[in-house]
Amino acid sequence: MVSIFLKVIYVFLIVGINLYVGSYFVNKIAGRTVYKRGYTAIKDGGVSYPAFKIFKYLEKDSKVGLWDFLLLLFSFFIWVFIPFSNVLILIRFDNDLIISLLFLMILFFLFVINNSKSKYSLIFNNISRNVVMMFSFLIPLFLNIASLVLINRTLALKEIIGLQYRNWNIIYQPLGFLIFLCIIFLQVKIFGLTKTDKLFYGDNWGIEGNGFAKLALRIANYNIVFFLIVLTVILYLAGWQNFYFINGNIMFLLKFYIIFFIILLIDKATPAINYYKYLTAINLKFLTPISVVNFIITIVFFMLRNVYSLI
Amino acid sequence: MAKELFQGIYSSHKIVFIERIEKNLQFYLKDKIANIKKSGQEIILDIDIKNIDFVLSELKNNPEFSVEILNSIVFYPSKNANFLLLSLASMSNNFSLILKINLGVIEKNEDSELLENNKLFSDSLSSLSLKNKKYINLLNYTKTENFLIKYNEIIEEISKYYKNANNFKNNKILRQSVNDLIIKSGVLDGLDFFDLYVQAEFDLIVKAYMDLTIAEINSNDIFSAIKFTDLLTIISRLDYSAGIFPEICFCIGVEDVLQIKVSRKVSLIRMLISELFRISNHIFYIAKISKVLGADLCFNKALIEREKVLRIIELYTGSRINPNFIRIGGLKEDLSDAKLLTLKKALKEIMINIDSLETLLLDNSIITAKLKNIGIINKDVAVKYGLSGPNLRSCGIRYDVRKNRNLLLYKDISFLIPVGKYGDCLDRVQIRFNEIYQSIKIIEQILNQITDEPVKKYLRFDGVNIPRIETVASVECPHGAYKIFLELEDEYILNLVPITPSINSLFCAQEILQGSKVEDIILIIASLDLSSSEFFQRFYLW
Repeated sequence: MVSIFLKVIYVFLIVGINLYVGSYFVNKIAGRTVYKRGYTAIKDGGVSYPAFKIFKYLEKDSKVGLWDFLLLLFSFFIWVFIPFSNVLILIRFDNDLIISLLFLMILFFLFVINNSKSKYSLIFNNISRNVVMMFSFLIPLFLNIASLVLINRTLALKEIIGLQYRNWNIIYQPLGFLIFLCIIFLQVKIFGLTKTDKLFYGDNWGIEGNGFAKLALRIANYNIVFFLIVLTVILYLAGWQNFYFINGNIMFLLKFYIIFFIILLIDKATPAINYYKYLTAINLKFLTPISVVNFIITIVFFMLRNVYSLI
Repeated sequence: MAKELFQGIYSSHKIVFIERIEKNLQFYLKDKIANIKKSGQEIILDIDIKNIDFVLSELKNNPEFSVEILNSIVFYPSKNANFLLLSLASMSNNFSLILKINLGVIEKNEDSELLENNKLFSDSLSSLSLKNKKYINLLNYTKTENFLIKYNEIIEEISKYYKNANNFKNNKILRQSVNDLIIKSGVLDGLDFFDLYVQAEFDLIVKAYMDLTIAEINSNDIFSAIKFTDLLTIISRLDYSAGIFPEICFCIGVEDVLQIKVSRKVSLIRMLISELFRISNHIFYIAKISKVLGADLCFNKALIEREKVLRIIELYTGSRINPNFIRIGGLKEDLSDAKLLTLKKALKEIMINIDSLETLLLDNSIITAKLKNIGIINKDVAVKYGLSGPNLRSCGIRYDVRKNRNLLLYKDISFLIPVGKYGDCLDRVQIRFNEIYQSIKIIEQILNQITDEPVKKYLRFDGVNIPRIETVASVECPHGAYKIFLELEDEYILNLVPITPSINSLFCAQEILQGSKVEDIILIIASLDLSSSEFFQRFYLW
């Protein structure tokens, strides 16, 4: 009983600290890339900046609804089935991959409900479009997970990591890894995590829903991005497997932050994509066809090896 | 692309026969004209309010003139009477004229009488230590209801011939009817002079109205009763992004009246600095657009390039934004060879960097997808609203004051006027890049042509008796054709009326916003390059 409590505290400490560090780096990079002119150099992104920002959100008066609480709650629930190390899992379950993806979908639904409260039909229109885009990215995501499951023949995350003790899955599924990266990158774009100037943001995330509601939304955004990165590390980069003499837990952290930084830098180098037609074009003309091809190649390979035993 | 444009050789300017048009006007309009005169490259036509119908129909329908464009309608009060200025232009015959309509004396408002008798007001006048109070223009119209009704009637008469005249009406009903969505001025960066009222169906805009009344300022007599030699220090504030153009325009006007000739070197240096300002303005435009698009890398890169150009401007004039460099009959100071050499070195670097900036911005499919087919302006719409400058050229109409008029010494220099094809946002961005390359080309030619000549003239205007006289001058500023109408007496300015290009782009935006999406509002307005300082004027009556 005590050990479960300790585990809960550990998991939320890990998530909380990484949320803090992650948002610190987001602000740091955003602040660094701003061209500073004259004598008014703004210090954007000190160590205490995220904490300061949380208080800034809470300072403003706003109505707090039930859905805001649910959003905050479920944004932490998605970590329940994720194995952080060999021991640190809150609930052991055989098919935890499916359950954690279900939690992700619940979070997306909560986004839609949360936005439908908006008084302004125009703003709701814009935001709901983006949320629907988030849903549509699940198609290539599921296709790639299916082809990965075909290789590993299990739905348990812990077993998937265990099977990668010799070769990482990225060797068998390089296309799948790239598509995962693309999806995470597009999620960051849709949420506008690295935006410094909210005024130019077509859909007014920044204007409506200040206060606690805004904080809940922001934390949920970060949690979704972190969740997808952790999933990528577990599925393709062998999670907490030791790397020669380096400890597995440190490797987990390293891989997580390397992917995180790559995505942040790509995000800074590309323009904003809040144009829904372009997002659908990326999904339907690029991501989904490639993942279908990936899936077919995997099936053919699987059949040749396991059914006809040719390879 | 940049290299091909840069290395080509192109013909110089077109010749304008203003005298022929002046004679034709006299022949066709005869006794309907009170007065007609040539002022530099422009014509000032003085008529009475009764003849407005006849004159406008003749100007529009007679193939000798075929004046298609109405640029702006400006009201100004003078000593004996009040006047309405119509700035008109003809594409096909390549001339422009100012129609000055005499409205007669209008009843004074109670407020203005109160002002005259007010002690505080008279005290503040005396504190300004003005010797001649007779030059001061009190705003004796002050928007009485009777006057505004009469004003609207006149504009309705004009709108029979020029439909965009309706935009200059004093209209409060529109603002109340169009208000599904109100975008307050602070939301848009640098565009803090209007509130945007939008009527929308879901995310499609049905009607848009820009309320400019918030841009009114109280400094009514900022330019009147000032010595015209003193004005040069503050006139650059009329255009904050390209401050040299009001200065040049004003000096050309005064030199034309006083018949002062400037040396070749003075004109060349004026051209050089105006091209530098054009480059800096266009780079600033690119920075603004990339900020709207969310391309942070391009935004920062563009600002760094602008910094280089601004530093050269600072080296030459002493100031980055308000140069105060042009003088009547000359310049503030000569440019040494060392200063010109720094520009020569910097030009190559700027050229390479802007070329790479263009590839970074416009070779990106995300950005071009966003810019393409948005905010399309047809040729007809552009002519209807009297657009000028790069916004007009992006629709496919080749019109530039530098080539179509005999402005400064542009006729001695080979350069191309870039023209767009579709008139959408992408064309508008592309045309700015091409103009930067052309400006660099012009500067390189000027640097080779500069010779040793004196640039200063010591002129004293104290106690000179100049009779009451009026003049117009126009230049091609980065936003479009920029005109200044002046009324002088002795050494004082009675009225200074800037006729600016951004107002036409703004009215055009009201039309092209219809049918586009709410999310594109900022992009469309930013792509038109409106200069906010052009709107803080007392002469419009909306």
